[in-house]
Amino acid sequence: VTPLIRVVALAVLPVSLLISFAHLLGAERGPGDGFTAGIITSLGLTLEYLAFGYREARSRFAWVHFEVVLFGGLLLSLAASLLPLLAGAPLLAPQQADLEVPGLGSVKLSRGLMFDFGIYLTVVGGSMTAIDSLERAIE
Amino acid sequence: VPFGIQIAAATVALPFAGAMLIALLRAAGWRDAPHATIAVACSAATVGLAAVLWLAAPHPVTWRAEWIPAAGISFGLQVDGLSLLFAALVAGVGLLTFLYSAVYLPRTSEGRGREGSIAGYYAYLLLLTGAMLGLVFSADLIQLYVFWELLDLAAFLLIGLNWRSPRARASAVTVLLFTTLGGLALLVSVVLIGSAAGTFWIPEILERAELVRASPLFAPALLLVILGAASKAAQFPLHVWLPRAMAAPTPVNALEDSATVLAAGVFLLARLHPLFAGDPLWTLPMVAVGVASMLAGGILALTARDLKVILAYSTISQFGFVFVLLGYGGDAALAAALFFLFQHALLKSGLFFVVGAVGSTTGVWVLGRTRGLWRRLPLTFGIACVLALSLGGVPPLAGFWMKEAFFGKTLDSGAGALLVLAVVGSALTTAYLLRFLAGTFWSGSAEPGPLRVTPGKLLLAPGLLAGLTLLFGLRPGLATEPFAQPAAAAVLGRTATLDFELHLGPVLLLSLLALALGALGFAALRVRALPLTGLARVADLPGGAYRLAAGGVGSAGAWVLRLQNGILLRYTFITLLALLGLVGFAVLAAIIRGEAGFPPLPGVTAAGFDWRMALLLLLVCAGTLLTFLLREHLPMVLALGAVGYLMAGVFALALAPNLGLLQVHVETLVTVLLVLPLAAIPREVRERLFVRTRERLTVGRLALAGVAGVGAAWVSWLAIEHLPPDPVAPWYSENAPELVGATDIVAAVLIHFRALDTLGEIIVFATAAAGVFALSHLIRKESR
Repeated sequence: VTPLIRVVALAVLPVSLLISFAHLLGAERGPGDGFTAGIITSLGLTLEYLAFGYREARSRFAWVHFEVVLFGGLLLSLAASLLPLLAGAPLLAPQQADLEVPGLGSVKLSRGLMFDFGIYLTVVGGSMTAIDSLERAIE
Repeated sequence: VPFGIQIAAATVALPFAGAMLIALLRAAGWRDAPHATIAVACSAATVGLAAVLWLAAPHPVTWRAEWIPAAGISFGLQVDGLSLLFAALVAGVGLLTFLYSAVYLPRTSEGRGREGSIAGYYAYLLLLTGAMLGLVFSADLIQLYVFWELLDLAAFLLIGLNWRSPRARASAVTVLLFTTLGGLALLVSVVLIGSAAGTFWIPEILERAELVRASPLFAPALLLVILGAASKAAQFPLHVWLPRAMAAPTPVNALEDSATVLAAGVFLLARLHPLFAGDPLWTLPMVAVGVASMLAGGILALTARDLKVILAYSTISQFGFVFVLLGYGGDAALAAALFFLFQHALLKSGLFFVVGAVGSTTGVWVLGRTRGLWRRLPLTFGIACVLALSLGGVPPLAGFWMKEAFFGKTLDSGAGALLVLAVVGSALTTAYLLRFLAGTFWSGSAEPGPLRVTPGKLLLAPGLLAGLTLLFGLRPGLATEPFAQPAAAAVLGRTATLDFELHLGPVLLLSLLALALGALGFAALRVRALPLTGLARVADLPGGAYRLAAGGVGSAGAWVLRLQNGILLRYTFITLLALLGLVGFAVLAAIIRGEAGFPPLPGVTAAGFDWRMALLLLLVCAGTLLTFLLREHLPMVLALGAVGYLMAGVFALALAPNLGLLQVHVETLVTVLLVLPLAAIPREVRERLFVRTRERLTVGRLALAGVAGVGAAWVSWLAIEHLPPDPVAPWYSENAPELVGATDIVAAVLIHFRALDTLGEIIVFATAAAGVFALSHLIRKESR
């Protein structure tokens, strides 16, 4: 592992997060979706692990518990599925709301986006839980 | 909402609320302290509410609310004489049980769960009473079924309370098996009755009784109701679970065997009595099951040695009497059955309380190890005598009237053989109760050791019950007029009278004959003149069958373990073999029917030939072959990764950019996930493993792999050739922007059109990740 790779790894993580969010927000208009976004974020994190070694890299974001992310994402998706019921619509029906954000203008929020974000968190949480578990088992 | 309904709802809700409170306090760290008090308070309040309901609330009254209108299921309460009789029993015996437990549990090791806490005991016992109260006030069959299963659950938890003991665990599972079997039968019959009547609302079903009886679903519904009730009331041959349920703490047995679990079966039959009784199909199975239980229970009670098991067999036998009475089907027979159940509940709970008192003071739970105990515990002995002799049918105690009513109705039925069996069953009762009394207090092979404590307060509950049985014996009208007759009248819609007057006649003669025969049988038993062992073996046939079946399941489990031996190669082999068998069968069947053949090879035209695609596919083949030929794990994984990237290219060329994108990412992640553990294995170990794997590469395995590969290709080909004529994809593309506001068709399908599938998939994904997490924890625990 050369210093160059480390620099690249450091740079790649924020970029991968950005690409993930682009995928998430653009899911309904172009290629990519929550699942792809989740894998991209996981890859960015994994590169960090490979470049700096598991311990050092993990200690930088020790406050993140990927099990919590995993089930938080699952719960978010479930909540998004149930949300339309509150409005009297069937389960998982498409729903949209326009939110006025001062300075930004109108932001379109949809049930689909929330659902997709849940998928994203589930995928990140799941794959990183698996890698964490493997690393810990190997140690 | 009418006043009576409000009170009934509170009566049902209170025990559940108490159980919840105990659970919350336990979670907050209270192991022992307030739980008994809470349970007793809840139970006392339940008794108060039941009394208010009985005395002050006008009834009958029903209340109905929509629950699942689409399926015609409602939620409702029904307060009438029948529900009040059972509610009075549950509340009354329940209160005695809680009071008894508060004294009994601290003296024994019973009833303690995790960390020695008694919270579970009281919470589950409250759950049991709550479920039974909910069941007796139910006015909808589906709702009744829900409480019925809740009762099973509470019984299961109570019996398995001592979870460290393998016996308790096995008993709990047995109980669950039998009662759930009955529950399933009940569910099916509920659905049958519901579809025949067009409603699950019990009063409406009973109004439309003619309609239901004319339906072809009536006969199976009737038989399944009997099956369900018989499993709950522990009737032969489904009685096997009850003796095993004695693994529960003794006060639990007192409540279960008298007023809750077993009584639920009788309640169901009484509730549906107008629908079934009098049908020719009804009498025979009910009387047959009842007589068989009466005799088998009696014989097994005569041979058992464990005090609680004797009482369990006695319960089976006594509920047999109730089944016979219900089977007769007349108005007075129903009233007699309810009177019988009522008296039995008081006597049987009292006997269990006595056994608990004897067991906890002497430490002896079997017959014949406490010679001369009556001299040391005279009061206990006196109470036990009153209760046991009453159940044995000795006048002037209430049990005498139970037998009197039974013989009276049997005489009315006019079946001579039945009369003989009734006398035998009754005589067996007298005999085993005499044996129980003598073996516990009088004779035996050993004197009891020094008593640990005196029974003291433990005698309050059984003493009260003994007093009641004397009272009801002298004045049976006190039990029939407020309890049994209104209950029967509520079901029948007309009055049913039970008159207990002593006059010299065949009924009294039969009663005395049964008593004399019982005493004679007990005397014969003392000199070992009864061929009991053979009879007991016959009576225990269902138990033997159950043991055989349980053993069979055990050996099947061992066989599966031999299959699942931890060698991944074998798992793959078996999975592929099964897959080939299933798919191959379907494909062969299709070929034989002429629906499928070898699909035609695609005609390759110069215009349609894409050399980039051809090149990629060739590289995919080469990469796959390379994976097989490589001699080390790590390069193999990398070659596999390369194949994955090439496939991404294929997807991209095939106009599936989404899939290609995902393929690249997933392939990378999977490669990392494969390399990580492989890299952790030392090189020598890896090489050794590799050689061993290669050695297992036999001709048979190669052939299987080849056939599986070619078969998979062929089936994919077939599938492409047989695309449905009306594909759904164009519809999605056309309607996605308008319906869900997404222009990307993949996202539209994933998060909108087929979002439920996606939800299912991420649940699977999360479960798999949790599995990896759990496995790694296990590995770390073992290596430590």
